[in-house]
Amino acid sequence: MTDYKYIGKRIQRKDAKAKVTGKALYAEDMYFQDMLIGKVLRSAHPHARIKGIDISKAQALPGVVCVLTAKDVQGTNRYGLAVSDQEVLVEKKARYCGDAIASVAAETEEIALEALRLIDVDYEVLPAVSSIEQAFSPESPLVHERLESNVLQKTKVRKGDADKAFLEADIILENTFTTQCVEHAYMERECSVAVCDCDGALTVWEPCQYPVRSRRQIAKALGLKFSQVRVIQSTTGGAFGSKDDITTSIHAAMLSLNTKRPVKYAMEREESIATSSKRHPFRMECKLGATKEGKLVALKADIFGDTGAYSSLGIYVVKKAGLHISGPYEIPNVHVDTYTLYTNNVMSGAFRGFGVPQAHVAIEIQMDILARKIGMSPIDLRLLNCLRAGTTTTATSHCIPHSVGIDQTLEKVKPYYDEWKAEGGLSR
Amino acid sequence: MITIKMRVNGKQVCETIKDNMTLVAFLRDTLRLTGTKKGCGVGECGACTVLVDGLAVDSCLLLAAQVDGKSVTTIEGLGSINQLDPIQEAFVETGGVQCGYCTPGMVMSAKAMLEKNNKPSRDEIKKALSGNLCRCTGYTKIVQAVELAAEKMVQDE
Amino acid sequence: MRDVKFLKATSIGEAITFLDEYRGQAQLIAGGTDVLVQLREEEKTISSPLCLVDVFDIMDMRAIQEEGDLIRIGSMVTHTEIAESAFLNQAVPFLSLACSQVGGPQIRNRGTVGGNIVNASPAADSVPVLIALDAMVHLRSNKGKREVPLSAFFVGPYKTSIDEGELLTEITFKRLPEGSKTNFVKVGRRRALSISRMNLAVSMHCDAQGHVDDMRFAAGSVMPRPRRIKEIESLFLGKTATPELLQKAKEEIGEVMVRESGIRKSTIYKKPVIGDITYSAIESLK
Repeated sequence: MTDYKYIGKRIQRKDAKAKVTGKALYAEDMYFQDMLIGKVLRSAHPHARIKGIDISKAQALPGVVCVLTAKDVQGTNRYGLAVSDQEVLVEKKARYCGDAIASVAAETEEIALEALRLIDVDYEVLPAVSSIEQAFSPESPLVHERLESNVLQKTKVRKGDADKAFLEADIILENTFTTQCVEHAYMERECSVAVCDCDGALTVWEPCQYPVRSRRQIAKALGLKFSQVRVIQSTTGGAFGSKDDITTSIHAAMLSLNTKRPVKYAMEREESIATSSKRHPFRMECKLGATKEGKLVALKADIFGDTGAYSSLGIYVVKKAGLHISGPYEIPNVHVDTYTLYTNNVMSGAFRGFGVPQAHVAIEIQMDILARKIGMSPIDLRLLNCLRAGTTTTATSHCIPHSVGIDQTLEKVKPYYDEWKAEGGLSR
Repeated sequence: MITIKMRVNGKQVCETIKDNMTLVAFLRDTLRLTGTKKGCGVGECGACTVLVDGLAVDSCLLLAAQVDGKSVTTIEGLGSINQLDPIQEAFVETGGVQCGYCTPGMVMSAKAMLEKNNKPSRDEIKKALSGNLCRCTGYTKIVQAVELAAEKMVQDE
Repeated sequence: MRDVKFLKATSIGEAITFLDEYRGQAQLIAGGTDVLVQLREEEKTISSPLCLVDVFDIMDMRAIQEEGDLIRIGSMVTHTEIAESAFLNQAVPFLSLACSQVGGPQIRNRGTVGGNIVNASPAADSVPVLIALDAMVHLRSNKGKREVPLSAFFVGPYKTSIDEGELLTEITFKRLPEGSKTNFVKVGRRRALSISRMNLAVSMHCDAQGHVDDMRFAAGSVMPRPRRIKEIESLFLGKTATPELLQKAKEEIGEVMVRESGIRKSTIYKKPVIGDITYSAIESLK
C-alpha cells in the first residue's frame, strides 16, 4: 500500500482547538459598539396578496431605529441561486409562510420583536398550491405569474429505446414512490452581522457555503456595487446545503445600510425551520423491465420535485435525480422526464446528496422487489447489473475506464449477507 | 431589574439584569462568554450545556436569577488553547469535532459525567451525552473522544 | 419572552407569603424546564404582570425520607436524585427507572418530581409509577395543609385541583409488600430525550404458592387521566401470571385505552404497541 501523506492518516482539524475551547467565532458570537438587533416579519399566509403595510406603530415604539418594507429597497430587490425569483422584502404577494414582509432594527431584541407585532399587514389571502398534484392542476393559481404554469423546468434523459425494450422484458415493475420534505437542522441557527462604514460600504459576516455568490446577490438586490460589499464566512455551525441560500445576510445588510450602524440578525429555531430551504419532496413514477434471469433491460421514470415557492437550486437538484434514478446499474434503455414544480410550500434546495437520495429510494426498492419476484439474492441481482470498468453510464453513455467500486463492495458484503440470511434473515 | 451574584469559572460576578434574562443570554450577552451556544432555546439540543454546582444543565431553560448564589462552569472554565483540558484534547485528537457548534455542550456533558465516574462504559457515555444533539458526526467519534478522555484523566491521576 | 418579576423563596413559609402577596399574578417555578418553555412562547405584550416564585432551593422540600413503612419525597427532589437514590432503587425501583428516562441528563438535573406532577402533562413519566403506589400529594397554603390522593389531583390534561396560593410540598406513599417486582416501560419517538407517547408502571407481588396477592398497574399518555387499571390488576389477583393471562392483559389494555381515549388516527399503532409493552412488562416480573 502506498504511503500517502494524508490518506489513511488521522489529520487534526485546523480549527479543532478553537472549537473545543469555545473560542471559534460564529456570527452570533460577534458584538460591535452600538450594534442593533435585526428581526424580520414573515408572511402569515402561504399565498397572499399584500394590499398594504402599516408600519407607523412600529416606528413610533421607543428603541426602534428603522422599519423597512419593499419600498425601501434600492436595488433589484431580487435574488436567488439559480433564478432571481426571491424578493428581499415582498412587494406584491407572499408565496410561502417564510416570505419576508418587513424588517426592523432596534436597540434590543425585545424591542425588535415587539415592533414586529406592531406592524399591520393587510393580506388578501389567495388559494394555495400545496402539493405536486395541485401544481399541475389547471384550476390551481400560478405561484409565479412570469411563467405560464407552475412547471419551472422539464428535462429529458434518453438512452436506447425504452418502449421497444419493455416489449422484450420478461418482468415489468411499475411503482410510484414519494419522499418527504426534510429539514437540515444544522445546530447553528442562521445569523449574520453587517457593518456599514461611512462611505456606505458593507462588511457582512455570515455562516455560508459560498461567500462570493452571497456577495453578488446582496450587491445586486440592494443596489450596491460589487466592490462595496464584502462577505466573510464566519465559522459555520453546519450547513448541509441549506446555507448555500441567502438566509439572514441580506436583511442584516439592508438594515445596516439604512441605520449606518452594525446590525446582528439571528433567527430563532422556529424561524429557521419555517424559512430555510429543505430536501425536495419527490414523486417518482417508475417502471423497470428485466429478463427473468435478472438482467435489467429498460427503465422509464417521471420525477416530480416540489421546490416550494422559490427555485433555490431546485432546477439542478431535480434534474440530477433524473440522471441517478438508474442507480449504479447499467440499463441499456432509459427514458426519464424530470419536472421541478413551484408550490406555496416551504422552499426546497440543496441537501446532502442533491436529489440522489430520493432517486435511490425508487431504484433500490425496485431492485429489492425484482429480486424477490425472480427468486434471486438482492446482492447477486445487483452484482449482475452494477456498473464496472468498461460499462457505460446512463446519462452520458460515457464508458467508465476504472472500477466503480460497487462490485468490490458488494463482493465484500456478500459473505456477511449470506450468513445473516442462513441464520433466518429478517424473520430471525 | 434584579441584582445577582454568582461564581462563573471561579470568578465572582455581580450584575444587575432583567428578571426574565435566561442564563445563556446572561453568559453570552452580559459576560461575553460566547463559547456557550444556543441551538434551540427549549432544552432539546444541549448546545448551551453548562455546569451549575457541578451538574450539567441547559442554560436556555434557566433564568440567570435562578442561579443566584451558585457556581457556574462554562467551556471557557476548562482549558485554554495553549493548555487544553484532557477532554478537549481528546476531542481534538479523535476528530470528534466537525462544525463545532455542539462541541462546547458535548464537552461540558462529558465533564459532568467524568467528574463522577472516571471509568465509564460506552453505554454510560452515551447516556451522559443523550441530551446533546450533533448533526455532523453521527456521534461515533464523540463517544470515542470521551473514552479517550477518561483514559487520559485516569493516567493524569 | 414574557416580562416577569422574580422572587426566590428560601422556606415554605416565605413561598406561601409570596403566593399570597402576589395573588393572581404568582406562578411557581421549580427546575424551570417546563416554565421557561412556556414563558418563551408567551408574548411580552401580555399585560398582566407575572411574578415567578422560585421554590427550587427550599431545603425542606428536597429530602427523601423513610418513616416506618411510609416513604416521603420532597417535591423539589430532582429526577436525577430519584434515579440515583440507592434507597429508592431498592424500595421502589420502578420510580427510579421512570425518573432515569425523563428527558436527558440536563433536564433530569433540574426537573423535579413536584414540577412533573403540577405541570400535569399526560406524558409525565413519574406519574404512572406514583399512581401505582397510591401516592398522596401534600399541599400547603396560608389556610393550612391538605392531602389529596394523586389520582384525584389530576382533573384533566395539564390541569390539577391545586388552588391558588397552594404549594405542593411533598409526595408520600407506602412501601410495596416485601419482595414485590416492578417495571416501568416507555415508548417515545426516539430513544433519548423523548416525550412518552405511551408509558406504563407495574408492580406485582406473589404469595408462597406463586399466586399474585398484590398487583398495581397504571398507564400514562394513553389515558385522559392517569389511573390504576383495575381491569388489568383483577385479571392476575389470586392467580399465577401465565402466558394465557398475559395474552388477556395484552388485549384488555387496548380495549381500555380505546374506551377511555376513543379511536384516534394513532390507534392503529398504539393499540398493538400498548398491548405488547403490557405483555412484556408484566412478563419481565416473573
